Amino acid sequence: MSKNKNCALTRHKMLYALLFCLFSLSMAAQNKNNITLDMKDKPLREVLAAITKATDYKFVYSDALKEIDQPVTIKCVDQNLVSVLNQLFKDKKISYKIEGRNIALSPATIAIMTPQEKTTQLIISGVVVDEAGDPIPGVTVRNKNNNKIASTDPNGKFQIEAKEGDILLLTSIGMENKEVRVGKSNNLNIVLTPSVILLENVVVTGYQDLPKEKVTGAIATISSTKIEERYTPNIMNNLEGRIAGLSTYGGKTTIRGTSSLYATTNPLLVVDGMPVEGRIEDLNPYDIESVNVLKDAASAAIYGARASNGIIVVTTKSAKKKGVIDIDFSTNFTVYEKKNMNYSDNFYMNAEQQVKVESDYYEYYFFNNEGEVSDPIGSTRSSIESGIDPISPIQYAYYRLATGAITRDQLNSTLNALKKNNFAKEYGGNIYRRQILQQYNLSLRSKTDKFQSNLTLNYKTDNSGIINAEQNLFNINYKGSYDIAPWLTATFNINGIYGKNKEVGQDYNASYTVPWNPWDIPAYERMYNDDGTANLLYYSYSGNQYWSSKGAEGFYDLGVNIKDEFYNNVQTTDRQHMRYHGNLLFKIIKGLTANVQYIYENEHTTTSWYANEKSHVARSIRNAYTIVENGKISYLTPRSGGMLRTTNTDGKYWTARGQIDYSNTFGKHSVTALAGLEFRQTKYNGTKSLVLGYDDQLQNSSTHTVDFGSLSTMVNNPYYMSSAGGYPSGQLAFDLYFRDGMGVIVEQLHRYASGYANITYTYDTKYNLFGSFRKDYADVYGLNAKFRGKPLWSVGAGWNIHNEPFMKSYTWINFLKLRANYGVTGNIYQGATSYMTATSTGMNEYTNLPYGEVESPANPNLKWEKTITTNIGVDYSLINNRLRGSLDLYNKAGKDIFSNKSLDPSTGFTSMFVNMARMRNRGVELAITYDWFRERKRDDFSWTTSLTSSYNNNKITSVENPATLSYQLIDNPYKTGYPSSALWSYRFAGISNEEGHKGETLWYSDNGVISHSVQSGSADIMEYSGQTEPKVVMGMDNRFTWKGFSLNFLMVYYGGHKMIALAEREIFDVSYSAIPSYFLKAWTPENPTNTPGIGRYGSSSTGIEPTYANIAVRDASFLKIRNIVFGYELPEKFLKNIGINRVSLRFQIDNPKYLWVKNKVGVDPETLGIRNPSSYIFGLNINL
Amino acid sequence: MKKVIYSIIFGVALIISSCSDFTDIQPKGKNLLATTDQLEMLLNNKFFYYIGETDEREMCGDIIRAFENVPTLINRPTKTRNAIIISWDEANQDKMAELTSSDSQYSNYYGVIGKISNAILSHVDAAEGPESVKNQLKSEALVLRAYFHYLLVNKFAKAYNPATAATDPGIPYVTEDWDISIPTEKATVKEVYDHIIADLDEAIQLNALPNEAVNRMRISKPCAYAAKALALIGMQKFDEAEVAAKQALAINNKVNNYNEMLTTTTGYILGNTYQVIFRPPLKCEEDLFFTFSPELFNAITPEAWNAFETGHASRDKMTTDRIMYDYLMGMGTSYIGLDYTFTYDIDSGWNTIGMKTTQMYLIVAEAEIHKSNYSAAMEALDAIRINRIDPSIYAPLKGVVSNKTDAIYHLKQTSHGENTYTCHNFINRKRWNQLDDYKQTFTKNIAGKVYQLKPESPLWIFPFPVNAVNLNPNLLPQNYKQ
Repeated sequence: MSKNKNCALTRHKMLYALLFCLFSLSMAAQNKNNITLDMKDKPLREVLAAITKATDYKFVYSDALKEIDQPVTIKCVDQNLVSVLNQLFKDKKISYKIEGRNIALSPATIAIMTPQEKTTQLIISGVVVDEAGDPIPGVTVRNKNNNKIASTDPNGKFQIEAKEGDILLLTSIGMENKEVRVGKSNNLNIVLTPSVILLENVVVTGYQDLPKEKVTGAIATISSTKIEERYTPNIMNNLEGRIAGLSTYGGKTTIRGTSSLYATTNPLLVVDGMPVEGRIEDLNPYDIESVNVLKDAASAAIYGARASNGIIVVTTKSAKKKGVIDIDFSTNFTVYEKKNMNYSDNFYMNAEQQVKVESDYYEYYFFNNEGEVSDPIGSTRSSIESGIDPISPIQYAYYRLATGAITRDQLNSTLNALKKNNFAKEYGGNIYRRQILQQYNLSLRSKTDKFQSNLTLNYKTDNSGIINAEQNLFNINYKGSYDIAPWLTATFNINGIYGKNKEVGQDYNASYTVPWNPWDIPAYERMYNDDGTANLLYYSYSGNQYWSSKGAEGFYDLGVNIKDEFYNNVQTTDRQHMRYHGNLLFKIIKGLTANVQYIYENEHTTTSWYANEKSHVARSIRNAYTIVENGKISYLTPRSGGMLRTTNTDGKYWTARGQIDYSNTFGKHSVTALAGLEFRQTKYNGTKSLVLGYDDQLQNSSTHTVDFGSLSTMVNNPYYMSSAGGYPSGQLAFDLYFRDGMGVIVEQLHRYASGYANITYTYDTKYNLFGSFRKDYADVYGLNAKFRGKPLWSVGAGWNIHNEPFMKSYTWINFLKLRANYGVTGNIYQGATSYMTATSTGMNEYTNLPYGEVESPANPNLKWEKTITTNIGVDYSLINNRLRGSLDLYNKAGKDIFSNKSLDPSTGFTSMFVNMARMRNRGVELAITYDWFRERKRDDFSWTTSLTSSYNNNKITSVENPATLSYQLIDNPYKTGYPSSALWSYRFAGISNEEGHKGETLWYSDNGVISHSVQSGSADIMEYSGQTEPKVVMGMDNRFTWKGFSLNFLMVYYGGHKMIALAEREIFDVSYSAIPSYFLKAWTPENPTNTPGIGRYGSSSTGIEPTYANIAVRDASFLKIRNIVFGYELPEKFLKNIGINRVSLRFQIDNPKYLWVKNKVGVDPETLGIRNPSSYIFGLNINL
Repeated sequence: MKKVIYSIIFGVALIISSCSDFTDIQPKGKNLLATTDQLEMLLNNKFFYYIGETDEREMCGDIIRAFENVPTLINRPTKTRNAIIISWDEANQDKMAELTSSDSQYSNYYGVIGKISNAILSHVDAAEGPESVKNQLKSEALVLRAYFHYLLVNKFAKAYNPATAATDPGIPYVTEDWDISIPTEKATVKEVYDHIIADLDEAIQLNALPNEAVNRMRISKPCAYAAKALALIGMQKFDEAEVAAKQALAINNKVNNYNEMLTTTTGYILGNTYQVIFRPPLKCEEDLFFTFSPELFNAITPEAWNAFETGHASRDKMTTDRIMYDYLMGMGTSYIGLDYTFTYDIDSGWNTIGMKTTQMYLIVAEAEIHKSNYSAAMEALDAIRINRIDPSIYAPLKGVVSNKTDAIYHLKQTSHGENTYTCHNFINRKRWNQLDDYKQTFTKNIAGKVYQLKPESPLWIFPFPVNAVNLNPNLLPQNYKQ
């Protein structure tokens, strides 16, 4: 109690301090906009930058402004802007115009007109706008025929002498160059498109925005233009193949390989500058301005103890157009290909093949067993009567033949009828439907001088492709910013996400739910009989069709009509995620700003699982708990109604940050620095409740009538399935449906406090030096106090080679930067504590008393995991920016990685968590983009190819693995000298021909012993079969445009990794499920193959060995086309007339069949089976 | 401006001093072992062992636990650990040591000592809570520590021989003050037993244990005496053992009548019903300290089956595979290639490694035989037998048996009936190997071949597992070698 009070006090104290601090700072921020300068013989460019620093007025000018690099001298003290500008430009051939916070500079045109020309020259006037229709000031307009130069004013307007047929060349920073032919009209309207290369010249780290020239770290940036080239509901998928070093393989996102063994390996997600707890798939893909991926220590170290896995920084869109309301509407409609239900394509036998295998077996079993089966009729009768397992109609028909109840002709006609069935097809027709995903997005943006406001609405709905299922997500976002005073800007963002999912509920002993079915039912079964009535299916512990106790008085038949279950047993999940983000930016004095930010996230999830009265779950529960009273069955659970299980979880997360930024230039010296403090708390908890006898319509329930105490001790119900020794109620009802349905979700509370700073120093725009420093504190139970606050840091250096005087002659080099850095980042593992603790939520099921188990011995030496990264990289942009990209080499050495240390078991513990393992990731990343053809105007053909390629070598350099037995190595695969995703397999030694074991697999065990069961062999018997994570990830994107049409296609290659696919598992005799098609080549004495036997030669005991067999290890490399996108942009001319800025249409194909896989068995490495269905996307975007 | 600067400095100082406090929180959902209630939760451990005890039962010849054809298994030139145990292949004991990569009893029993007893003993003094509760927790922890060391020393070291115990290598006796980063040290057999007695005496002296615990998976006062009696009889201190056994019986002398604890089971084939024993877990008063494991899928050797006294309920009314198949067939031939009977009692709790009042009666009987008081000895055995033997067959031994050989025979037979489904048959036989009147060579016939286990065989000492000796060289040389 006293502890909590202290914490609350501390928190208040801290917040007051933070606020007080910042308001004090703001008091100093009044005296702004007056300028004091003393610069001698400095390039004009630097002087302008200094003015911008002091006033926040930005200068806009074109490349043609030759004076920009000429030296000037200026001295002024506390003067206002206009007087400084007048002083600066008075003897220069430069004119300026102030518009809002921009100052447009243009060369004062010198009109040299010859009389001859005078006769034909006209004054042409025009306006230059961007794609959004906003005027662009400061564009240089040069008439290539007469070399006249003009510049646009702040309204984008210009006037120039030209005659019909002249070519005007327009150039502007940040825009693609454009040539325009003068036509008959003397009023031109010219649209410039932004230059992609230059847009990506600013990187966003979340703590600051920096021009690429100042950056020493490896940061990859993707702008909205690239993102919008294709549609993906999840932004992560859109990054695939575009960021070298980022892998999304197998649903696991990593940057530069796996950096930890037991702690999290996901990158940290930062949205608009603050780390968020929300999911990346929740981000509205239409609302993203840019994604920056911070890969190395210099770029990420500022995130300290959360930086080891890399950072993904997402910036959302803001209004750009001033004075208008920008309305943007997008929709994408995705239609999925039908699921392929063909047995053979899914690697299963079809009905005919399965009937043959089974009838061969039962022929042997009943009539030809050579004494190997002692009492086939008796055994079959007893398995029918036990009710534990379903009974195959084939077995039953043979049983009847054996008992003389039917003739062989009748048997054959039964078999022939079964051969004609196709369960998967029937299942597909009844349970699946065409999957359709729709997403709609509407954004409204407006901007004035002081205020900007963005409202985005997004709705996504997916029918999941299954009956009675859906996934809906509504996302509303408001972001506004307001310049309250010249020294204060407030930004606030409110984001609400509402999700509702509906799916079929769990059923623990009937696997009708996706994805097991239809493959859990034999191919020859059917869902409906010819007359349309349901053919009920029986799963384990549900009885069977032929059971004499079927329909016994007082008990429910546990047969399943799959389609009905999808309506009778339904789980819905409602999710509400709110994010509130506020930011106050104080401009204190020249170059110094302070900001305070607070972000609060709240995620509430309600999961309701309702298995109604008719469901198999509810029927099973009722049968599980019965007694006999006066000779009649009576229920211990409610006689009517179903089960409602509700789980409520709450996540509450906040982060508060106070930061001071300083940026200034002193002559050739330029400094950018920041320092700040950050506090963070995450809290997650929840409750679970169970309602029995629930009727959704009547809203009544009768949980209070149930005596859970006595049910919990009723392990077996002797009255139901008594020939099987009773129904295992404890195992199949209490443990599955009741025990876990009540109680709490243990609270997870964590707190972090951090202080950080970094500085970038640039000399003469050529050389950068960088340093960052961060101290992190986390919960005391996480690690020892003496290791808390251990600093994490990085240093870096950069060399802008293109700015060197000696490079000026190489005009084909536009940008060339060499950078190198070194630093330490951390990773937090919350799974271990430095104190001895025990579990607190256990229950001794024999005594019903709460029990606790000590989890691990105290380890007072716990500390952060550390990753030491060295990175050397080059950024380049060559040949008029046609060829551009980067190349990086890195070495990430993980130290103090959490791992198990084996302990002598006499201590009572077999292992403990210590910071002991080491691992490293080494790699190369290459990004190249080349413009084969560039588009100058709409009718031009353009072709750009982008290639990203990364190679990662992951190796554990030191770890202690406590696994002594072979199977333990499968769960815990970490071994020194091997990659963290090492795949260990059993060595196949053939199929046994030994009497009594014919058809069973054999494996190599210790000392060359060959045995059927080697699970308990030592860990040394396992073979290293490669790694499951790809070593090489490549993406190649090609984009073609012509006359408003565009074509994009993305190819991806993953290689150097292995998988286990189509492992040939063993079965006992024949199984009541679809049978894998590899059994078509099953071992028999006549045909001794390497596939385990079936039927007569089925296994007598099945283990995990075949599932991890070295013969099932296959190369997982593949090359795929991820998507092909056809786009068409309607002509602007046409649209302008009807008041629309832009309309674009898109047709996209996702996941066409793979181009190439290395494995020979036709398995898709991404699914380990049949490929994912393709999908077709129709997209529309309208901008008003 | 000055004001501004001062306030900044003040604010920053305040924040930095808060960093450490801010993160100083206690996690919820964790037992911090800070109060007596939290410590008591450790004692509510599920004493559940699935296959943990089969090593000893297999080694002493009572059962075979295998999942393959046993004659093939034991005749293969390459030996598995199980083949060595089943065929009493003492020539291959080094191989067995090599193949024992881990030993679940070794880890589980030391786990009880390290994670329950020592965790409590090292935290209890500083914990919040009433002194009386602290003493009770302390006593329970001490008894558990003593008893589990007793089980360990009986598996991994030579039986106590008063002449050599002071030098015979034993096992590490791990106490709460041991720093787990330092490898534990092997004590002599005598030191181990002295520690056991000392811990139990301390627990008895604290006088804080209840006569009857909240449930039978918790330690009560008779448990302390019972453990002490077991240790003392192991040390051949017959009189002291008898005193302790009688102290236990003075509090609880109940023996449940198996002849009356019946339920019915139905055969799979004919659907006939049979009367079988249902020994309800936690509910038998004769269980002083109860541990649970289902008696399942253990093939009882014909030798062990025949060693039961005629009419013994634990044999004749045991749920077996033969009952399941209406006595028409069994699983033995198809599963292990031997027509043995498999136990198949999923529901009962046979108290595999715990303590029972009947063991106290057996100790009394043995001590009385030692004093040649055969009548008193048989009276003690009859107290058990009357509750086990079919009433239509039962006849008292008291007054009938009057010589040592017969007395020992009946003691052994009664003890066998009592302990076949527990680890105590192994412990008793190993102990009796030290006594000239009791020692015995065991034989078994597997598929026509006779195997022998001699009293002096090193197989009575199990090897320390590889995962222990690799990390703790103090455990070497292996005890069976000395």
